Amino acid sequence: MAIVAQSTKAGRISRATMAWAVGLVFFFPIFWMVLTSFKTDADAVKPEFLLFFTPTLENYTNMTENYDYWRFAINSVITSVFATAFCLVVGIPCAYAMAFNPTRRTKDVLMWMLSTKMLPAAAVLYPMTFLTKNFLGIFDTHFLLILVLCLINLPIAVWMLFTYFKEIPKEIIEAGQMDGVTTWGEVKEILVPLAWGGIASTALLIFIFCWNEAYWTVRLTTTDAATLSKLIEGNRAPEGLFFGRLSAVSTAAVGPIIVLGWFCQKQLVQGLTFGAVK
Amino acid sequence: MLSKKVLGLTTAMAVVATGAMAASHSKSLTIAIVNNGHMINMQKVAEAYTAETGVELNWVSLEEGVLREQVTSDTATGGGQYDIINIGMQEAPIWGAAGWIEPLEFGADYDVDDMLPAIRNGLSHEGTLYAAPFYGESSMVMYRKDLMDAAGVSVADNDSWDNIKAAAAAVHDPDNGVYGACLRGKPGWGDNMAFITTMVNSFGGAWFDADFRPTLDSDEWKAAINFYVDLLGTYGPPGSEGNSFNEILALYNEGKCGMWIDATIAASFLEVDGVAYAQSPNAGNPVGANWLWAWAMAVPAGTDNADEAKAFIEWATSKDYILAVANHPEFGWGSVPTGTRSSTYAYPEFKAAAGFAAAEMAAIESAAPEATDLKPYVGVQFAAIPEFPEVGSAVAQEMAAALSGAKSVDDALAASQAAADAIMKEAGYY
Amino acid sequence: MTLGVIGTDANDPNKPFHRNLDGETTIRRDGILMSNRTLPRLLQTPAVVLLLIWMLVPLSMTLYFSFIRYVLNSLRRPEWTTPSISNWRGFGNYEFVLNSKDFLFAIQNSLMIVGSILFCTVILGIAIAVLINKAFPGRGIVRVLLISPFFVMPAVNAVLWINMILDPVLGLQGIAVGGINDLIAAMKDAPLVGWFFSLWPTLEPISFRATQTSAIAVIIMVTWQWTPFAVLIFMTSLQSEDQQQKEAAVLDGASTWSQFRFLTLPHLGRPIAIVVMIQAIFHLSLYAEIEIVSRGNGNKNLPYLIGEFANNNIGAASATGIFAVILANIVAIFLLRMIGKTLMD
Repeated sequence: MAIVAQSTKAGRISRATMAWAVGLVFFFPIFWMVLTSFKTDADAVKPEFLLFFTPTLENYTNMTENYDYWRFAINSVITSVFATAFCLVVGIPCAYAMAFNPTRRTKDVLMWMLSTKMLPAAAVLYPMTFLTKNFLGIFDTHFLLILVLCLINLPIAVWMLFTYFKEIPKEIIEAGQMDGVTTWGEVKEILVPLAWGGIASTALLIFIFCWNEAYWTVRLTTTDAATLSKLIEGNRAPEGLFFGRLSAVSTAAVGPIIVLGWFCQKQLVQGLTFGAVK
Repeated sequence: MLSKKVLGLTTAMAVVATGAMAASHSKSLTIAIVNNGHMINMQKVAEAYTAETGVELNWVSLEEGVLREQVTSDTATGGGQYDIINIGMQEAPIWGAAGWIEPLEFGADYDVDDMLPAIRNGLSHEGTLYAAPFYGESSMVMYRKDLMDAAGVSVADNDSWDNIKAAAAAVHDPDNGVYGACLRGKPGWGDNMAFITTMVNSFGGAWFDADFRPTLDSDEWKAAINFYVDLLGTYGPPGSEGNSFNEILALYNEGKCGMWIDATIAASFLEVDGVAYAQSPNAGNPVGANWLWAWAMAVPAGTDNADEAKAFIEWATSKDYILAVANHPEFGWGSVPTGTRSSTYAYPEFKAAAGFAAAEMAAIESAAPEATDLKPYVGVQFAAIPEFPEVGSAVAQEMAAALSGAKSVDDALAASQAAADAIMKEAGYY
Repeated sequence: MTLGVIGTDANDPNKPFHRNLDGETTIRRDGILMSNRTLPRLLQTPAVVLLLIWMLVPLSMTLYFSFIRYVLNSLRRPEWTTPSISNWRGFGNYEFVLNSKDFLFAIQNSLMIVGSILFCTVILGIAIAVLINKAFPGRGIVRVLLISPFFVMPAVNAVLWINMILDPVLGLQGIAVGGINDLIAAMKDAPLVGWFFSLWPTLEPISFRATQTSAIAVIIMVTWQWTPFAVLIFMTSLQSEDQQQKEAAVLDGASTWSQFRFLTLPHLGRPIAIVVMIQAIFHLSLYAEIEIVSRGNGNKNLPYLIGEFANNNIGAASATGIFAVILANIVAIFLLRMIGKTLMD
């Protein structure tokens, strides 16, 4: 590592300091939100309590008592988990076929899939409300949300998986075949271990997108399937001083996904290349 | 094989998913409410109602704009998602006329004549009540008498706008974090336009003429908007373009406002000392210097539980409900929903707990939402026509642009007039 | 045998086959010949069919509504409240939308905010990725801190920034400006240095909900959220950079800048295309941020315009929707061309 050896000690220290500073700056708004969630609404806007204050849990008890936080949270978990799973079940075979058996049209199909992702949701909101409520009768069900969340994320999933599968050296599979491994054995012993990183990071990314989706989850639900993004919509500007309450609800809504992201960041990074790494 | 497996898995998941949502409710009501203090309190007070009748209540509390969007799209497509919806005076008469919401009739105990006449009229269409008021409000001046006294100025009932400006100037002290006047500036037909339209009304202006052609380029509008931009731009807090009721309430309770002209309901949330009330300023219009609004409960036509829904509304807007809040261990007379019934204002305990009671009652009684020669529509700070939200939000953004200084008042009004004209023409008025 | 696909017969799991890239199907152990297109097609069918339904069914309804008079409520023209072919009006809705006050502004502004966000995230993303590419004490923790904003919901992002951070009175901006002003005021009376501070002006906080600034507020908050995504991708890519090439460059006496300019930057070409592509997909339909920051004052895009029309005028909202679909497709074609070439290598 000639470059590292060359760089001066001062250079290294200033580089590390800068990196830390940038990290802290980016994290600061989240830190601030969590900190504010433990202040009363009145304290939250007072300069004298900026950093030193008497912590309180009243915002959180208010949230669970008045807004049924757990129901929203459970709905978020159910819809995101199933939508992600559904997305993979449909996406993996598709990406597999595209990667290992590309035809001249494969690229066009992939591009078309991505272009569906660009359709503005607002353009079809009214037809969707009408269809799902009056025609299909599945408005405000987990089933509908799972389906919609899966569909809006499917193009990204297929693309990500495709680019990952494409990098798997086919010679390995050939070698396995030469050795007389059965088809199922090929999938189980060669493909799955090789593709695991890509599948895991795709799953994580899709899960994040599902959890944070706010357009459809707010507009296609009332109570039964309402997710955390709907809880946020109800609380983004409550009466009076609201920074404390708002922070608590926000922290409770994004907390789980941030913690999940921290634990899984290695897996997330692994496959998040979209074919950009050669 | 693989694709069969895929199909099988898909079906299996669909079954699981459907199973999770199949928990059905036997006797329950889904109620869409705006996320305001009185409504949130209702969730707790109504626990007694559930205990008594066995009717389960599912609350969907939403921010005002989202609530409107959701309730409108549900009701317009035949309803079915909500059994009870929170709507306001803008919607109630026109939704009633369109048959979207059911007429309400209550028993003798309900004493519908106890309801404040202005509020009752505003929620009716051709004499039929379509929504029952949960709380009502007019607008008034809430000023810091302590600051005014110290500065040697005063605010009178129905004061002139010039005096209001002089008082704001006298207490304006941004270095110490006090701003002379806090007024709504956030774009929205129910936000900045509620205040602005009321002000224009006091200058003698209106949204439309007798043919429903917009009159936003009139001299009255020009005078009023110039005054508004000057008053709020000079003596308002920074960021007024983003302030509406909730934001200003926060500022006021932090002691940052010398005066605030807004909904009377705000008075019950004020926590600073030295507040006094005055009737809204007027620039000469004999009627309608103050607005009239009510958050009311209605039953959408598509619900299967209309009877249970009406029974709940009858309870939640009754005299008994007022007493239930007053006697609730967590609340009290200071938290009762006001502005709906004369009987509320007769309780000595209420008068003692609410220093604003007299001013609020006077404001509600003097509000004049009826259609007049000056304006062909019902409503002070809005027009009770289906196209108003579209017109109102288009104009609201222009007003915010004028307040931001991005446009001159004349340009903003000219653009507003053109936009409103296009919308009304498109809607088939002329 | 060269590259190819392996699989089993869709109807009989006991019939494996192998097929190479030229589409020639090879007879496997059991000697069964497969049609060379069937299996890949079958595998792709669920995804393609689902997306096709998702795209076509609601969109065809939108298309239909865009050609008829259709409003939710009307006292003057009750006949317009039912979607019916008898209310056909041709391109009338399109004409109304084209002539409406904010249509052109919404398109220009949409492209402006998407472009600005892309510019900021790519520049910041590269800078940060290069900064944390080499090991330093606590790199793992810094990485965790850095990627956190990416997990935040858009609505939370918007309320957090516009209220608690950017609010000119109660937010951190207001508190900071107030604090600095107090400090300057206090120092004005100080001996010796007082004259210096008396030259300073009183700072004015900036309102980020004003017409002139609301788009900037949205650009700031979205950049904050998506820079981590760019960092993640660039970081992964940098790790595959050819170190030997770099060492050779160092031996040749190349400066750090020219190493970056001639080795690192070309290496990042593809990841930049990916970041631009994915972000454009997401940012063309920004909604919550625009609504929460300024309610369309000074900052609007086509989805937001649709939402405004959809208050009552479904016909106009649908016509705007069709315009938005066209715009999205133009952008899509442009972007897909850009990355499509490299995608299939």
